[in-house]
Amino acid sequence: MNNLNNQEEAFRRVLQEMNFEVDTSQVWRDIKEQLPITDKKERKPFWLYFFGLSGIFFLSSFALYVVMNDAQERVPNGISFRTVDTINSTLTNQKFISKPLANSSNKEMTFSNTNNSNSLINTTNRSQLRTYGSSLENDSANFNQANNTKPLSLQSNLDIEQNSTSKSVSEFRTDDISSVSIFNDSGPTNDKQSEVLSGLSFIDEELEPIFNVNHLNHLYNTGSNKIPMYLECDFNIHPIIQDVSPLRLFFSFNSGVNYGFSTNVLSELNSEFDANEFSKESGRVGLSSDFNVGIESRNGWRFFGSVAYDYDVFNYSNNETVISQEVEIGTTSIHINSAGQSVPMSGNVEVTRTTAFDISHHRRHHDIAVGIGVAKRLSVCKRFSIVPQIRALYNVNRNSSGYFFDEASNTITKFDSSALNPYTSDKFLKYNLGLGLDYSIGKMSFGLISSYTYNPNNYIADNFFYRSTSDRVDLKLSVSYYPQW
Amino acid sequence: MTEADFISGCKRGEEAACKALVNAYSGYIYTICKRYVKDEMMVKDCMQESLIQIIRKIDLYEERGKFKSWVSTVTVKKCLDILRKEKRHLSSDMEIVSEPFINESVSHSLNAQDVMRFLDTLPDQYRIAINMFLVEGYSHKEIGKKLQISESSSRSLVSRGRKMIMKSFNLDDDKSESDAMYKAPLSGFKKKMVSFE
Repeated sequence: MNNLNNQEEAFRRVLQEMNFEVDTSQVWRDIKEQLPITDKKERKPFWLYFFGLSGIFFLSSFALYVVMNDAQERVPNGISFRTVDTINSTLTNQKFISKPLANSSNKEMTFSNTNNSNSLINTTNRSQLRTYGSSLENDSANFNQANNTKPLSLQSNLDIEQNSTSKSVSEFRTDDISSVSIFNDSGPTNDKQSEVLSGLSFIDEELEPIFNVNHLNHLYNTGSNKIPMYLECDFNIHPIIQDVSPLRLFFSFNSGVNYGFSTNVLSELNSEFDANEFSKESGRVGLSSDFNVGIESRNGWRFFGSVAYDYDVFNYSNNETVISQEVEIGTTSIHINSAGQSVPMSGNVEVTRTTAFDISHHRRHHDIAVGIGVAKRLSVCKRFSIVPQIRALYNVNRNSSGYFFDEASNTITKFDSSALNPYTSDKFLKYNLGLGLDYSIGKMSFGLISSYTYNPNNYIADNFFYRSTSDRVDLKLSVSYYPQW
Repeated sequence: MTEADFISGCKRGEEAACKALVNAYSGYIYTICKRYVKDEMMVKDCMQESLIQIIRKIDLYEERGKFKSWVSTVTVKKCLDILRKEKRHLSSDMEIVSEPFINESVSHSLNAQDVMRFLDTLPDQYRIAINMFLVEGYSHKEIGKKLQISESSSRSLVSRGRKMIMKSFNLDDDKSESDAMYKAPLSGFKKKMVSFE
């Protein structure tokens, strides 16, 4: 345009200065309906949905847990110790039935025990339970019970009938009976301790009191059937005897960073969109969190449900140039007067400005998904374990904002209203494969988990001129809580 | 309401601001469309779509350059899009070629009416190239990119268009050359239409 002659310049000026009158009110009426001038909806903040859903999920899980525990406590299982006639429980695996001895009363007692229950020892009177060097062979034992005035050994003899699914007394964990007062005492029964009843030989030696039940670990864990002591139960304490449950409830919360990989492919072969624009888009660091609740079996298998939240960010970078023509006040000519001084003359000067700038646009997606998963805890050493896991997640909500590739303008364009938002697909299935490292401390475990999420679904509108999918890798810190550990 | 006010108001989706923008820029946008598009109905469509796009995408305007220039850029893009889409529905045989405009009055003073009549007689490619080069100030490289033709094709189009201007307005004495150059583009334009689609 530098070498326009005067005629062309005149032609250009005519075109530039040309102006048509337009009925603007008519134009406004014609386009008003298509403009985004409707009152923007008061959108509730996203965190409200997220924490609301998480809260409901957590409360539901907690309520379920409480109900389950409550139901367990109400079942009359565990050791039921009463000085009444025979009490049989349909839920018992073991029955400790007191058989009447020759010189004893007709009272019978029933011990019952289940694998997954707490047990209470109840009695109306203070009673004492003693074992006098009982052999316990073949998972059977003889117990003597003492009432207020006499040792139980004189009144009854307890046999343990072991059914096929039950466990022996020796399998009781020491912490299960931690509140039982255990000591060696010749006490009120020493006058009869040398008696031999029903083939039992009683030990009549004085043993030191044992106050710390943990000292009994080796006795119970060695499988020894010989227990050289006697137990005395103080039934005012109501000891709780827990069995080792095969399944344990757990809660876990994972949170960390992610990085998305988007793939955009033209769906229209004759699209005029420059597909090279797609290469200017790349992922950015986002956030990933999930809350899981499930059960873990004794051999390390985990089955759980998840609520996951992901925040993905994508970036479009480009160098753009804008050329603008402007008229500014400037120096049009310089006159040199007779004195040789230069006098600049001001006037309108046409300026062509070329502005080049790096432009960076972002697109953000907030996803909420629910799903189920399975994992396996593989012990590496004492406290460390690795946990491979796989999950299937169903995306239930997607909230998108930012920029998208626009065919009309052949560039990236902001979508700020629902009408322009092409990311309308928010219900889809995705798959997650992860590997974690856990460190256990008591009822808690802490760890690091890395996972890859595969999402084969197009999450842009079906009739759009391109398809878009994205996968993701993430790295999260993990904390788990095992209430029953 | 100042320009800055209605720009920020449009970004917030305020109706009054959008209306002010329409009042201020309808004429300007219509004029640009008129230069690029022949058909009056299409001109109106183009103006409306440009206005809608400008208001919808006003967030993209980052107030670095003049708003008027940005409006012009968006409008030209919209004109090209509309012309491109329109061409899909027209085969090259159906292209209406107007009679060449010859300004009978030997006068070097140009008026808007004659210029518009002249533009209406030009095939689309020439009209677009002349407008983009002479009025909007695009370089041949930019014209080539936007029209999806080579830079040399852009030079050729502009060069021939300029000679047509000379010829039509009797601004150039070399009439025989102009005649030759004027006839050539018509066949060339049909060829170009194929690549333009």
